[in-house]
Amino acid sequence: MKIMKKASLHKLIAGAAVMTMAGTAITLGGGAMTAGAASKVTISVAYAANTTFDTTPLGTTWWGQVKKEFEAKYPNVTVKLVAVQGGEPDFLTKLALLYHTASTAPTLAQFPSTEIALYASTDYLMPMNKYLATTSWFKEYPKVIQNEGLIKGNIYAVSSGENNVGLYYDKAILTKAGIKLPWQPKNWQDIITAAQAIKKAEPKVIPLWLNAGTAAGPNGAGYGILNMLAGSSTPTIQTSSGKMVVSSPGILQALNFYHTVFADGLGAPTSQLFSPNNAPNIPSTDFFKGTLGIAVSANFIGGNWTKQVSFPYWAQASTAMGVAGLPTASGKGYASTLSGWDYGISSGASAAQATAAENFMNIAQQSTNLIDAGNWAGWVPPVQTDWTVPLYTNFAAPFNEEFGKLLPYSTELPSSSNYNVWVQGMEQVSGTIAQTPSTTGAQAMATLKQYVTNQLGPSEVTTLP
Amino acid sequence: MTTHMDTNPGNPPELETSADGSPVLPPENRPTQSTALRSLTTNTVLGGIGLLFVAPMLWLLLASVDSHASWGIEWPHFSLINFKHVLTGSLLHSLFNSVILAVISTAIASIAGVFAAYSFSRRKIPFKGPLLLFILFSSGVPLTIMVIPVYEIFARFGFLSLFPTAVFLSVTSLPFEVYLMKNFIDAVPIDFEEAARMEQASTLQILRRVIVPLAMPGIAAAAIFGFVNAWGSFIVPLILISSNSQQPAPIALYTFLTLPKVEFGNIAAYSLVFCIPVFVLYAASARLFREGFVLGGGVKG
Amino acid sequence: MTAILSDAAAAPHVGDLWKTRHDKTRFQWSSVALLTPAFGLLAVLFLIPMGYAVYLGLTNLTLVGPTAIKWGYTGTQNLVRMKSDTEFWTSLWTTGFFIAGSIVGVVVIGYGLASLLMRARPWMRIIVGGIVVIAWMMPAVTAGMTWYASTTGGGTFGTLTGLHSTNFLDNAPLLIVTLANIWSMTGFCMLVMGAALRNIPSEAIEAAVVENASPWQRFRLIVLPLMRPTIIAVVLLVALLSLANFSLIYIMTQGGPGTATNILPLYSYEQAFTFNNLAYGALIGNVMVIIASIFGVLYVRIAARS
Repeated sequence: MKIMKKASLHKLIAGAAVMTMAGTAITLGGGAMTAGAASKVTISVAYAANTTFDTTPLGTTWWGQVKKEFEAKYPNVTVKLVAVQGGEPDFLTKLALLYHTASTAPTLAQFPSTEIALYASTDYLMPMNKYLATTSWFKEYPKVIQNEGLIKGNIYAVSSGENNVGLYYDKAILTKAGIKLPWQPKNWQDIITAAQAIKKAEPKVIPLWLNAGTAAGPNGAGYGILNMLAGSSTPTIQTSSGKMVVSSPGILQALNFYHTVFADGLGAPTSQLFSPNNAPNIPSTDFFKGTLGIAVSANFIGGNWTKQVSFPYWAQASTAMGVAGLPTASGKGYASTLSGWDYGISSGASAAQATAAENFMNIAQQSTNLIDAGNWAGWVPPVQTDWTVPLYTNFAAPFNEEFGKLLPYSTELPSSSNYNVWVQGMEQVSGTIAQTPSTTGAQAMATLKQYVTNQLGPSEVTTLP
Repeated sequence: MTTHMDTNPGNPPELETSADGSPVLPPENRPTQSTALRSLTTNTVLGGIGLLFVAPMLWLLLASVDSHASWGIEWPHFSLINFKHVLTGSLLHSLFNSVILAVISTAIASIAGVFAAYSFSRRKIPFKGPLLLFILFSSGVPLTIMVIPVYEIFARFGFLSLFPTAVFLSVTSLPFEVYLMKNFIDAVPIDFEEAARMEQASTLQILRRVIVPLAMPGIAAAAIFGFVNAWGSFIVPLILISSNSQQPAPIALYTFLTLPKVEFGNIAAYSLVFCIPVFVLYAASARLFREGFVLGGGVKG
Repeated sequence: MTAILSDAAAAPHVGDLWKTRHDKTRFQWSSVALLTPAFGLLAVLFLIPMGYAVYLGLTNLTLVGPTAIKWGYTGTQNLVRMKSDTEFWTSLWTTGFFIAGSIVGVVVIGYGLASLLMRARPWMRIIVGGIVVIAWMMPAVTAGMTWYASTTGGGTFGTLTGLHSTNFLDNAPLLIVTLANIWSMTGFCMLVMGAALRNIPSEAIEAAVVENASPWQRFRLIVLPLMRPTIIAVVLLVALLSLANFSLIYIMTQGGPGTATNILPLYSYEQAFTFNNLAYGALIGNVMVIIASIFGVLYVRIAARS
């Protein structure tokens, strides 16, 4: 009996010892080693395996390419690539969990720009001002992209690529509907008129693709309704004091636009819009099949039709499709949201690790790699001069070039934990309109107001007159 | 999680069965015209329900052997390529992780469970009633609420990996296992133990030589329950395992759904492969019982 | 496993919960040693987290943001928030519907199958019984995937009903996930009820037949009372398992569309990991424990009366 007691106790102790050793091993393996030029440094690099690059293999290829180049140049540094699986909401959850523990926090991570303020406010990120001043490429960023990671004087994250939004249209379908090409609508009414004409001429075709619903994660709204908001009379989402705008003429305009589109049967079916299989990418398949007329979509759609991405491969895309800027409601200029994927260095990194991470970024941001990333992940490269480089423009001609031209008209999306809730609310009400088109803009906005106020509290929200 | 379980006081009288297993009815109750009609209705209704139940499974079977699968059920282009795809690389590794997770969890829970169940069954324990109630209660607590505090604790100690997760999973099936095993041990006659004790056997030897062999059906059933519990666990590894290479199969399966390009055939094949150990184990557990996996009242064993 | 439950169901006594063996009257210290592994594990990985969950529910801990590092006790702040949180009350209602629907479906269909299968041909018993049991055996993840495939646009349901492009899942999400839940639990209920039905003495049925009792009377006066403990036990189990259901619904709808299928476990996950409010998510979890306890207490009360 005593033997047995010892046996079970031993088992527990042994188990605990193994667990502690395993935990320590993980810590030591992925964490800091004392700095010494000759000693080995290990850094971990976390990225989204399935949702950053257009296809998972392309992502693996790109990161492998950069890692190889880096390790050749810096042989005393080991790079551990952490490819986080899952859709975008799952990636964000996982990354937050990784950052939460010091031992698993990635030295370098790539995440959506909308998360920057969140991570910065939790002290997860290290300011990079000094480092960026030494690089040659940061100066070439347009000011709005430079400021993407700027919070209270510190730059916590730097862009590796940007997404902006515009209009895609199928030339053949628009011609059949009697619309003159090249098509450039002047205001929102023009878009609706064109969609109605398409519906009349081609009843089997979806006239207008507008992202709606929560399935695509926080970026879904960025490729959808937030562009209408950006082009409305009051585009403000978050005031300078950090309050979320839950009621404004601009929000009403955007929601009313959605209501008009879906109530007239001009929108896409919810089975496509709510698909968990990366709904924002569906237009590229629909256009290829000839079942979609116009889409409000992000720049990566163009890249989907290339051979490398093949989602699906459409050799005639460049002649069959046209690109137009998304007009504002009133007709003055274009509007689009701007959001990117940025690098951030963990605040818990040692000096040696931070230097290694910076060197890694230098290689990743070097022109060829940067443009490759842009092509394969569907980004506009943040370096202005790259927008006219043949490697970029020839990849998905003419789409890449067109979206490069539209980039200066884009406005950056906010980044805060309040924003996450607000955008969830926005996506929910846009989804409600798509599913129940009789919902008016005013009703949707009332729901948005109630939802966000309920979640954040009245002191965090405001309305604009 | 289940009811007050009592020992079996003896089988109640049953209808005699004929050779094919159907009950032999006394002459007054032999089928007549109306009972024949009722039998037809019964079998039709059952057939209908059966079809309804099998409908969702059709996709699983058809798409897994279809090289051009989609969400719909269609006559497949027969091919085993989907199975080839999923039984390689990281997907196979995820299955392997699942095995490790489930085996460790089962081992811990079963061993701890047998000790505890024996103790509850044979020994005088102070506060036995409240303790057993506590065990009953803890098996009913929804797992999802435990994940957040356990995550916080594990994060603090750096336990966000496979082995600690397995230990936690063992705790989640422990209460039900103890309960199940206790009832089987209750049913073991005390005489064998008394005989062993007269021969100066230690408790450990009694457990090994007497209790475990005799209560084996119950212990095996409990172990199988624990295994299946850990095998199918989704939210626990989702939150508690931070490393990509240690993710078990359910997470890999879920990831399929979120990829831009949906690999329908692979999803079906992987789901099917994932189910197989569960089916095998339940079939094995059916053999362990003399009462058998009673399919609604007729088939034995 | 099922035999045990059936026998227990046939002869219920709440007092047997702590049935003691009369051969052992002295307390032995070795008993403590025997209990140590199980209770040690339970104490560390169950009691402590549960206590921590209760505490966390009253703090402002978040996953990311300033209060991820500097967080502390905030008293009743979260409780006040919960009271005015319409999402929470909606989720509560959705959970209620889900549990109630599951109970009704499982018990009715399970009993129906059990009693019909008793009278069916052997091969029918094996096939239909087998299918239903296989549905029960399937891990939740696979069941969720299968039902997603079947009810999405162009899936099995569409093909079978001819409504090819209808997305059943998005049009009636709560109904579909409830059906999926019933599908995955009926097998177990069928087995348990089948075993309990077998235990009903045939003399009682025969006596009723002799007295010209109608089938409905036979059911109401003989079968139902004898089955009562089994039914109550099954209801409790279905209620608890449905309350805790996460994977099945998460795989199928992730709580959506909107919040249509956001039962408590999913809402708790959403608050904790999508909105980063770990503390509020923990509080919702605590509410779930309270609900589970209420079920448990109700069960003990009702079962004791028989």
